[in-house]
Amino acid sequence: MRHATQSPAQTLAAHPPGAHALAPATATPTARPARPAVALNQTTSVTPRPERGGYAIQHQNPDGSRMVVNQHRLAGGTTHVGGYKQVVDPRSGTTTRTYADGHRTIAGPDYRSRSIYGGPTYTTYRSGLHSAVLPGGRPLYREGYAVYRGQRVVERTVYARVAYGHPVYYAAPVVRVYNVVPLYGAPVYVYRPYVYEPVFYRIFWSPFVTPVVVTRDCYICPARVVVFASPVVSYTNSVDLLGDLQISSAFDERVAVASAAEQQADHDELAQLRQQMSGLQQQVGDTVGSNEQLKTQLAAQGTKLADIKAESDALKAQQTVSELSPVQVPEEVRQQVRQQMRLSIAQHRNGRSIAVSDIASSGYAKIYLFQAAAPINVTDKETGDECFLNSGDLIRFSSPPNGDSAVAQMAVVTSGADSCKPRQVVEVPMADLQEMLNGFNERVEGNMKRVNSCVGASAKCQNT
Amino acid sequence: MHCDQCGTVIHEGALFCKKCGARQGPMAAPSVDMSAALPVPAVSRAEAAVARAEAPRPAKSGTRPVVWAVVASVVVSLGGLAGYLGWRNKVDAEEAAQKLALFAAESGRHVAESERRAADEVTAIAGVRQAAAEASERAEIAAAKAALDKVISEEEALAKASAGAQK
Repeated sequence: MRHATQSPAQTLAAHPPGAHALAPATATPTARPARPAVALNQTTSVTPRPERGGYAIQHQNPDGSRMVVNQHRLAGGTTHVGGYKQVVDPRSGTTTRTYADGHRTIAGPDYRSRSIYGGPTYTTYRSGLHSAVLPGGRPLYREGYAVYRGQRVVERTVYARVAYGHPVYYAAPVVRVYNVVPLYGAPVYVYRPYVYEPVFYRIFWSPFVTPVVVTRDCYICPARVVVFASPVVSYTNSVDLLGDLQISSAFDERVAVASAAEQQADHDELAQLRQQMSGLQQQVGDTVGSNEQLKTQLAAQGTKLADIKAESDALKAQQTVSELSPVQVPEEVRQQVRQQMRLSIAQHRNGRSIAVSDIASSGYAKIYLFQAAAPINVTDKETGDECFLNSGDLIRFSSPPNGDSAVAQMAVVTSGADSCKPRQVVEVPMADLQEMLNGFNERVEGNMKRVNSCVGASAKCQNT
Repeated sequence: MHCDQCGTVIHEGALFCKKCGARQGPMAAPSVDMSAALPVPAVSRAEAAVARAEAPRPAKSGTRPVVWAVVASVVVSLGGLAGYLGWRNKVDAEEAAQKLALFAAESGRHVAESERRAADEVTAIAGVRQAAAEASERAEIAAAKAALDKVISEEEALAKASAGAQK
């Protein structure tokens, strides 16, 4: 995978860490009893995980990097094989993990970044500031501190947005402003909406004069990265259109935006990684098969030889996030997003900044959907396993958040194939929930502008 | 001639009646007595008395016969008791085994039945609980939807009012 020309360290220099330290970018997993690993040789060990119908292989490469292969059975009976290669650079103090499904995380002394195959790299600094760069190194947005009417705020300068797998650069960068709000003892940045003239909102409170017909060339119609249970032929009101657009445009951002050459490089690196992992599985299977003592040890802990050997080819055939089939969106999810869309439009008009604490303490917290705006790695509440939420994935509170906790337990509602699975309960930092909320409201604003610029002048929008 | 007993005509000189079998003549018994019918050894009373006098007498031993009788009776009693107890024990063990087997079978049936009932009750309770949980969940979701609708209405009313005021 290619890295941005502006490294996180450079961006960090431009935005030095402030006094406000946010919660860690990933949730700290709850302590769980560890099963003893069975050493196969000096460099490889296997940790049985019979409760999940699987195991984990740890392997130390000669170059000092480490490889981990996880295999477990999913609820439907299928086997999931995943893993990563971890490289620690003591000079820069960074730990880089490249996952077999195309994700990559970098944990540095003052920042954490996450990216997906062929997509932008999103970085969160210890100060709480963010930046995003495209695969070629061009910035998508970056943040810095500013003073607005005597109040310290965060400004995000946005250079482009991602649509239909391509970056679309603005004629002039868009500046977004965030209020610094304390949340559970740590500051979070809450989006402050840009309030337009009253006429801007008029079309969102009345039916379209002319229905928007869904065609392949429709500029404001939902992208085909999602499939709705009941597809529409035409939209007669803006809330329905904006709701569907809200869902699809977020999933659309996970589509690779890298150039063909950059994607090829990433593809080759990933293919090599999967080959190594698959070979490691095969090697472990052969070693265990010829060593009765190891076989007995593993069997005593609930791991069968067949379990190890059966899925060694699964990694080779694994798809990356950006290669996956369209996401199925249930109708109830669609209707809930439409309701939230109505709320967001009205709140936008009223100039309200919405903090995650407002949602958590509201009477509708139980049904409110949070939509991931960038890839984040989270931990499964039950198993402690790591999984990713990618742009577009929808989650809701699994249980009311604890007032003292910086982490919320969230249930996955709708997600792409290589994200955390639906109904999985994951631990998500409140700061990341605020980022999702900001992303949702910013997306509402952007989509309102798109729809507003097209409705009434549909000839301009078609074939764009 | 006739029978002395029943009067049936019998042959002259016959020893017994051909009908009732009674002995005829001067030694005929008035009733049917087989012992009387058998020949009796010809031993006189005098000869019997002489024989008793010449027979060897047992030696006298004071209280010994009594002791031996007591010992014998105790031994016999103990033996009987032991036998009885042995027999009784054997009978008890067999009965106990049979009863235990019956009890075990009955208990098994009861346990199985209890387990089945308990499982049914647990299932019923779980079902009730699940139904209650689902009902509670539905109620919570309905309440949350109502709360969201209320907030949307308030925000939209405020937005439209401010939009109208700015016209």
